[in-house]
Amino acid sequence: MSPKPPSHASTLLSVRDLTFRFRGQTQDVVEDVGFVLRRGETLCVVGESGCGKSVTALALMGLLPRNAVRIRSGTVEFRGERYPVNDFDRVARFRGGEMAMIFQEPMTSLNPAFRIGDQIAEAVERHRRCGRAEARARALEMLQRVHIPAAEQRLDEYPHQLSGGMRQRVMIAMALANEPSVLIADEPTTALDVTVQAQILDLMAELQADTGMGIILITHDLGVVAEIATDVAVMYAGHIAEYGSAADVFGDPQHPYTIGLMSSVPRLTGPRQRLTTVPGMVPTIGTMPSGCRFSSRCPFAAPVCAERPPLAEVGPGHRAACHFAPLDRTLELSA
Amino acid sequence: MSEIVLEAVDLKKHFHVGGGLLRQRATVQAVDGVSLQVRRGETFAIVGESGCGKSTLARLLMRLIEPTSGSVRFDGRDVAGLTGRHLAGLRRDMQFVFQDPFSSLNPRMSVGRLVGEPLETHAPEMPADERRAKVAELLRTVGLRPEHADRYPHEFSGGQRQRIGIARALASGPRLLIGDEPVSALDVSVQAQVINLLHDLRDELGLTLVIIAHDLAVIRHMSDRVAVMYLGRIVESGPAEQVFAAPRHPYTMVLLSAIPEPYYSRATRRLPLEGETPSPANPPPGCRFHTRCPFARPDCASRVPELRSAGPDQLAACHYWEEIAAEGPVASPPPPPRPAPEVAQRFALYEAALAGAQVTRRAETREIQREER
Repeated sequence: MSPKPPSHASTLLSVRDLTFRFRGQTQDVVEDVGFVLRRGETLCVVGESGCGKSVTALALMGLLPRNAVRIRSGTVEFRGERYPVNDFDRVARFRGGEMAMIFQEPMTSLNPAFRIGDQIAEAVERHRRCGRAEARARALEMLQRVHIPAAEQRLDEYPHQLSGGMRQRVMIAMALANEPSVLIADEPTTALDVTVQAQILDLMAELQADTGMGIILITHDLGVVAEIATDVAVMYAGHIAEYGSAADVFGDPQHPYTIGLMSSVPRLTGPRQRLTTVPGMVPTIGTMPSGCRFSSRCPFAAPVCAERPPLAEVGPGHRAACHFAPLDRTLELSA
Repeated sequence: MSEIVLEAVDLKKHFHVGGGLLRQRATVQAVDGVSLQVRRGETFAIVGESGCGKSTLARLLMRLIEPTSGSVRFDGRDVAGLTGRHLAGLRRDMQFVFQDPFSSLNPRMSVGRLVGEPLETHAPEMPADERRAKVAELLRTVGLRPEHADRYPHEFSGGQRQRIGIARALASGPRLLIGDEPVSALDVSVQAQVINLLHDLRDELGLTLVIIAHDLAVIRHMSDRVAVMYLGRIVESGPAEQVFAAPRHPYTMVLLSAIPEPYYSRATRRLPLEGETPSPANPPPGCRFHTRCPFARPDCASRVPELRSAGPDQLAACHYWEEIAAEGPVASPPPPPRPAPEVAQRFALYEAALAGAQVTRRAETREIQREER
């Protein structure tokens, strides 16, 4: 499978100025996050635990507990409609239909007490007027679509009877049963073995090619990103640190965090040397530095970093939130 | 260096599962005839996917569970018969680092007590103030601060907790550490810190490391020699660098080719792997990998391949590795693309700044940037 070239396909979904915090906290967990997803393309949101990538997805799906979150701003454009992120009724109408989501741990996302055929059929009935038989036929069709062997027999099995990879296929079948135009996948292969991960990534690419759906893939794995991303948003502590096409982010990384992250990945090829790290750890919401949130771990941090750097253009469609980008032109080693 | 510190000889562990009123009892062959030798001072990695038996093997090596047959020798002594003082000695010399730093530390014990507990067990005669000093020293060794001793595990991040786990394992002064997925629950940037820490500790304290993991890239960075397991058996072993550059067993090839590498637009040559790992309760006859092997020949289903030489110090359990290698469909992953000079310079700056070099803003850019804004 080779990465897709950048294109100018039509926009499916765009998000602007998403900012929210958990109630009782004085800092935003996600601040000014925005991105664009185009038809048939894959946007990867990459970052480490606590960077806000999963809560961003949950906010879009209207799945954050309403009384625990204060959405301060955020506009979504989807299917020609423009609405605020906290228009929960509208989001609920799309959820599971036009916009579907799959999660990391398929065992906890499937109900252990129901047969998988019934669970998929339920998703179908929720969004279209049809009878049981028709919904069940659709469930069978979807299981075949995700290449589950002996699909007819599997319809009547329970989640515990399936392997991890098969369960993730069931989750995908369920998510795609209503032909969503946007699929949000939160670490869909993290709990799987590498060989199974390869199968699932291939499956997602195949289904995307068939349907033209846009995928937002949330992951911490830069290898997965390099393989399937059209565009990449690198998140750190609730901010977008860098945003651009996969070719730009991998070929011309600008933000010190992107560079640190790429240096810390152990690789299969190239010289086997000591890994460069990102020192320290992600700040908690209470210890968040003001200004650039990466400044507490950045080796280039300077007084100016107490001011928040704008997510500024460093090339066509390529943005980075660093006062010093591009590093090679603004910084030098002092002898 | 080539002295053998830990050795397993034809180790087997079969679990009996199920069995009820009308149900057949099944035998899961979790580990089925594993022999390996770990040399003093090296990092030896055991790699494989879920269900291959690698964690069971680690527990057998530690004698946390008893083997069905076969033996484990630590420093030339069979560990099976050890009791009392000798078993306590084994526990002191061989320590375990667990995968999940969230569930392997007692949340109600302070870090000081967690790290001090092995000292109480293995050196009960040590006076309390000396023990406190030793705990402080251990915390410093793993990159934590002595004042952390008064805190509780929930106050720490995943990477720090893993450091606590390592300090605890080091407390008894072991000669060998077995880590079961010691870094796989950690974020990439933190994972790199812990990998470097384990490496430094090995050299400073003269430890031998046995690392169990599923991530081949991590293994490549951490280990000197590697053994690849599939369905309870070792299918390939050898020096890590060599196994990664020239894998001989088809399973190793498939595994390597399945790993997505963080390089954009590099042509990937992924070997197809159909289906799922068969159940270890009912492994296929002959070569256990033949049902999924892209290179399987008819007789692979009947003849069991033994580990045999496949290069200097390298062993592979495949009847046809020479033929497959000669066909040359896949060897190692392709080399990484070269970064553009300005990008290479950014990485170099980052590395230099981390190492403590003075990086300053170029005088001429200050004005330009201000104007642009």
